[in-house]
Amino acid sequence: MLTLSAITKEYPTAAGALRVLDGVSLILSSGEAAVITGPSGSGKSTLLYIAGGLEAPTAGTVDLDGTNPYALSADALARFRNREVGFVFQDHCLLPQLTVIENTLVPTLVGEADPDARDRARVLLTAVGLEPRAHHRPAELSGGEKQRVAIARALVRSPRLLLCDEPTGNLDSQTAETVADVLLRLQVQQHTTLLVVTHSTALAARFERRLAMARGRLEDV
Amino acid sequence: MWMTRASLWHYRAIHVLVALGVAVAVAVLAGALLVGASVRASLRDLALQRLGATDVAVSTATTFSARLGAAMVVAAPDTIRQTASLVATVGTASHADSGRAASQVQVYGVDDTFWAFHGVQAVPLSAREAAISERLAGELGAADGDAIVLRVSGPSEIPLGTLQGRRDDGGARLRVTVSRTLGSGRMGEFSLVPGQGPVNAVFVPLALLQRELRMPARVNTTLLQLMPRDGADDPARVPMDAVTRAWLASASLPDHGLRVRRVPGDRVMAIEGLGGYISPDVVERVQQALARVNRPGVPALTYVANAIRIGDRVTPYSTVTAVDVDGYNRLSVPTGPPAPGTDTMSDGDPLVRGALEVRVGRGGTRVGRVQVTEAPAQPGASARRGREPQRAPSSAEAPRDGSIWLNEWAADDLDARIGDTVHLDYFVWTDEGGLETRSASFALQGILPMMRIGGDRTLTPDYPGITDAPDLTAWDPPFPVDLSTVRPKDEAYWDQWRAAPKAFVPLEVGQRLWGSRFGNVSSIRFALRDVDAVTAAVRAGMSSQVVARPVRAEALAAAEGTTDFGEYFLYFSFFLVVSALLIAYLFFALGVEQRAREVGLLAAVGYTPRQVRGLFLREGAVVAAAGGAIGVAGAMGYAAAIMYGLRTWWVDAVGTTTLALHVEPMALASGVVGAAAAALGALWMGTRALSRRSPRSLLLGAAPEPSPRSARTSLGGGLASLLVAAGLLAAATRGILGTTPGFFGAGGAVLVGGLLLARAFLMRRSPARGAAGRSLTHVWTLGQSHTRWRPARTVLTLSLIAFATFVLVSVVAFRREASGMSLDRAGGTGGFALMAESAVPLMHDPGTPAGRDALGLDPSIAELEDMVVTRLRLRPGDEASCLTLYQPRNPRIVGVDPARMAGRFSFADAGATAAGASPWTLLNQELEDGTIPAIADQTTLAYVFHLGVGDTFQFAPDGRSPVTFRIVAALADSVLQSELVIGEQDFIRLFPRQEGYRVWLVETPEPRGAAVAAMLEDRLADSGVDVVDTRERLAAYHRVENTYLATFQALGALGLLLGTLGVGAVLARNVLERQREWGLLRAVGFQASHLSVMVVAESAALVVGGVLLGAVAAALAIAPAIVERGQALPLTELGGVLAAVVVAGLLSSLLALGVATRVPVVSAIKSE
Repeated sequence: MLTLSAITKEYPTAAGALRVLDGVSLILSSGEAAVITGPSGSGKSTLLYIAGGLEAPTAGTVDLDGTNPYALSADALARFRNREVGFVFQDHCLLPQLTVIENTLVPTLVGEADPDARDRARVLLTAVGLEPRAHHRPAELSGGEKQRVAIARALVRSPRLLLCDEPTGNLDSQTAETVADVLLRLQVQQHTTLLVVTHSTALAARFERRLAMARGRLEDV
Repeated sequence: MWMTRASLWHYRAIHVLVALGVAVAVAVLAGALLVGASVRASLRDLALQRLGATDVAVSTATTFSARLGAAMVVAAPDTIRQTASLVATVGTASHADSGRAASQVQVYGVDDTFWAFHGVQAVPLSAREAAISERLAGELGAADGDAIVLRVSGPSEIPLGTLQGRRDDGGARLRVTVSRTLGSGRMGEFSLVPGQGPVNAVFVPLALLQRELRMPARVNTTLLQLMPRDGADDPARVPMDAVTRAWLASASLPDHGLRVRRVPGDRVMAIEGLGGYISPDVVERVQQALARVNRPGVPALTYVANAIRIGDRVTPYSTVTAVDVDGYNRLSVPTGPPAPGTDTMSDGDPLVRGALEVRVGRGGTRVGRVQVTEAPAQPGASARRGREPQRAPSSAEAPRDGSIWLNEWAADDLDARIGDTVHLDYFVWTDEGGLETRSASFALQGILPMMRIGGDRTLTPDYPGITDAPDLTAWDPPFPVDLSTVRPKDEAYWDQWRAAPKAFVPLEVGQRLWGSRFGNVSSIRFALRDVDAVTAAVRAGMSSQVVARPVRAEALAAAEGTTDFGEYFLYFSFFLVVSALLIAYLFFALGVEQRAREVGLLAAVGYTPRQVRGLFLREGAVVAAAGGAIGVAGAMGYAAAIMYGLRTWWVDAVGTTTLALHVEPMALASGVVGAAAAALGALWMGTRALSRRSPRSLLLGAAPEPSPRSARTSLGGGLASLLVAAGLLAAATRGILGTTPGFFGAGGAVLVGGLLLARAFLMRRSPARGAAGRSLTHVWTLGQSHTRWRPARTVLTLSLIAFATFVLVSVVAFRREASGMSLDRAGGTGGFALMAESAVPLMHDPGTPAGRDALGLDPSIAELEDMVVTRLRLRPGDEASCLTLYQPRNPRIVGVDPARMAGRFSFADAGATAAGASPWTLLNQELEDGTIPAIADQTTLAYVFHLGVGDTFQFAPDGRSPVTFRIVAALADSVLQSELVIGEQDFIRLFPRQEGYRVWLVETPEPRGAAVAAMLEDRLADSGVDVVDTRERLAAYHRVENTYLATFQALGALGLLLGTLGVGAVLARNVLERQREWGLLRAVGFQASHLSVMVVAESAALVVGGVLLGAVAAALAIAPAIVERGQALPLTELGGVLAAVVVAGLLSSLLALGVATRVPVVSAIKSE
């Protein structure tokens, strides 16, 4: 279960502190999927990064199945992200020098040794329909394919929490649909808690639980 | 690993650039070390080539048997493999026809053993032939068949600093024919003294030199080749004790400067010094040896009296012996008169054995006992043997110097009565005062019969020109004699008694009057004994009188050099290395920055910062390794280029063209590892900045946002640095701190402060003013505002240029004048226009009319009218100035009279000089720890000896007994850079056999310098005098320093230009990275000229700003030096280099802009 309690985030600026999140709280049960929508600059991506242990809140706590990632040391926090959290970004963030399967395996290069990682990567690539392209490089893939590789990479460690930041933001509607299908199917299959941030109403419509972020506050829709 | 491999390939373009940067760093670093190794190896090769097979050189101040070397091999066959004996001396050479001359020529008298010893083809030399070195042939313009004239002076048994020393003997003048010119491969540059300059050497037949120098069958040097052994290159492990033992076992008494002879007509023998004196330590050893054979010795000192006077009665030119008369008489009774000509016996002389019964006097009268008339016990009473005195009254002057005995002949001649006051007039030689006439008065105590001591001609040592003269009028002594005073009766005495002393004084009195530092005993008498037993006992008790030096090991040690060229070229190449590393760093950091999102992703998926850095470092390591591999080839190329530079452009610094590249694997490996490690460090630094940024910021690909705190810290640091600079300046101007450290510190603080303030300025958050508007000024301002886009990059660029400029400009201040120096007494010349050095000691004082006359410097010569000479004693040794590359292990020493040097020269460090006193007086100190106070030039101390004031320097002048000097003061930029300077009294004590003065410092009115130099070289040619203009000598030193600085500047400028290329690349990247911006600006109507102005504004702010900051800080640092020396800065040269930097920076940016703006506007706007 993911619990965000009274999360506040401020950024220092020349004109003083800029508050992006203002006491946001959220609870997601294990295996639950939710989507956050809202205008640009409303703080939804910030909340996502805070939830994933990428950016510490100014105030408030994060708890994932009893673990507060920000109470961990830097190394333990990295291990936590590696083991418990999967990220999918709007810009797929594939490493251009690596092939599809190598990109998928990047998280398994650190943390606990995982002898089955390569098999699991192949399974995931099959699941996202890209196993035949396993040895292609990102430059040889379409946008949707890249995003599907990013989903496979996010799930290769079988994380308890999958966080997606505009996963279909750069895709056309058909491709976005395909990516959403893959994402939601795998989330169900792996019983992963899923939190998605998006502007896409189509994508948001596919989630039972929908939340909206406005002026630093979160509300159920 | 596959990830690293993939990244390496994917980002190969930037990795190639990084690798090239690393390669340059490796090439320069390893190349610099190779230069050091090459110089060392070249010096080693040169030293070994010049020494040939020589491991040890044995030499003496006098001579020894030419057969001694061979005997040493027999005595120590396990230690000594072979020897070669020769006469080695220094002289002058001139071409008989052209008159072209060379001084300081090494003249060797050699035979076939010399060539065989070195394993080279023999050079057959007939009686009057000579082989000469290539350098000498060139200097004289001599070819085979040409005649050359050599002036050489050989070793003298009789010290020149004694009355009997032949000071005016100009040595030998040999006319020889050049039979061949020898290259270095045939020992043409044979030299026992390490040095990189070419050698002027002449090889003549040994027998010829022995004959001309009147030293038949004698030599002064023996070369030893030792048996091969481990550690032969370590001076401390050369078996010098075994060499010394072999010498002692082989040396006969004459090799110790002694001989034994039987006193004719007496059962007495004598041990005599060949030079007229026996040194005090030898006297002690001989006495101990005689005691061991139960023959206590009676020492005697015989001297020449110009006159023996009683009243107005005078006996001219007699010898006088100081001896314990009673002790002598107790030795034995006479055995009979000698046969003339049978009185001399020496070690090994067959006459010694069994010929004990000899006769005294020509008449052959046998005398059974000594008859002595002594003074009566009652004062005033007198007694004469045989008759009452009929004579004029004795002088009323009271005797001051005790009692005297006359022999019967003298007593008769002077009509002496017991109690008469007897006066002795005699000459005394002092180096300082020359020949002086002194007198002593004695009371006549007794008269000795003309037998035994009373008629003992052997009491007078053999003095060539005196004792070997057939009659008195044929005397040719080294002091003036008035032959008109010689009477027929004196000749009769000479015919019968030769130089038998006519008067006798107590030993201690004679020693007080006539003793010298060379000794105060001329012979030791003892009762008859088997000569072999005596000789054996004396030889067994002797210490080695020779100087034995492990020349090979010393040369190898010296070849380590005064200067570690590897180290120097590391300094010189510093900016090249730094620039190359910075380039590697910059490109790597740019590459990492370009992959910021990758870093962010890795962080997001659970990589720790260390793991991320590890990934990048693995790539960096591969790149560094590749760069290292390329750098190895580059290192050899770089080192080869530097060695070429040292042989050509910078030959003034090294003084030789024989340096060659030696690829020493260890040096190469050290350089590669060092530079690769440094490069890896730089790459690690390149990853640090990224790992500090948050994953989210990296994922967003946002530029790092400087924190206000960093800006505040920089501002504070900058202001603090400027305050420190102000404090240092205040301290320096008030004398609390030295001017140089104060101003240099202030300059450095300004530089650092300026950079920190620049950083603070670049990090400020307020928008750039003036960015809005339409004029070019506003476009310029907008361009400049881009310097704040990547503040870290900007500051790095500024730092590189500013530091390089600072160093380049600062180095200028250390340049020294190479001409136009003054003859100021407090300057580098000490007020002396000329410095003369002779091959042989100059004994006479040119400050006195008599001295000038003796030197042939007629006071009427106009050029010499106002000449004032300060004489220095010299112990030749290794050159210690910056003109040599070899480490002076046995340095040249000069002895000065501190009083005469007062007010001369300036001191960089006057040590513990009392207020108002001359630092030269420090040389008069007797230091508690027994060390000898010494002064040296600061440059010599710093760069050759690596010592400072208060430090000690120990060396073994004779190869055995170490002497410790303590540096008490340091001269500032003086002409005395080739030597260590000690007080004259210490010099005489330490080096008693280094006689007279060999260095003259000459004051003369300025316009006459050249004429005086020519006159001195002409008049003193027989003494091998070489005169140099002190300003030229100083300029030669300055040229060496300036050449080093020029080298530093050249390589520094190269580094700066390389750095500029790196900066240019960064600037270009700054431009290329902003393609979208350029596209946008073009879209909104900016023209190409506008964009150019923006780029130039940005680049100029960086490049010009860096140059200005560095130049201003350096100007502050060197201000005192510039003011003090009054030198003009080479602004054109400096300006050229700095302008090139500016232009290169601007051009690279404009070039990049050209590339960036070739992209269509729409593509540019859409580009990532």
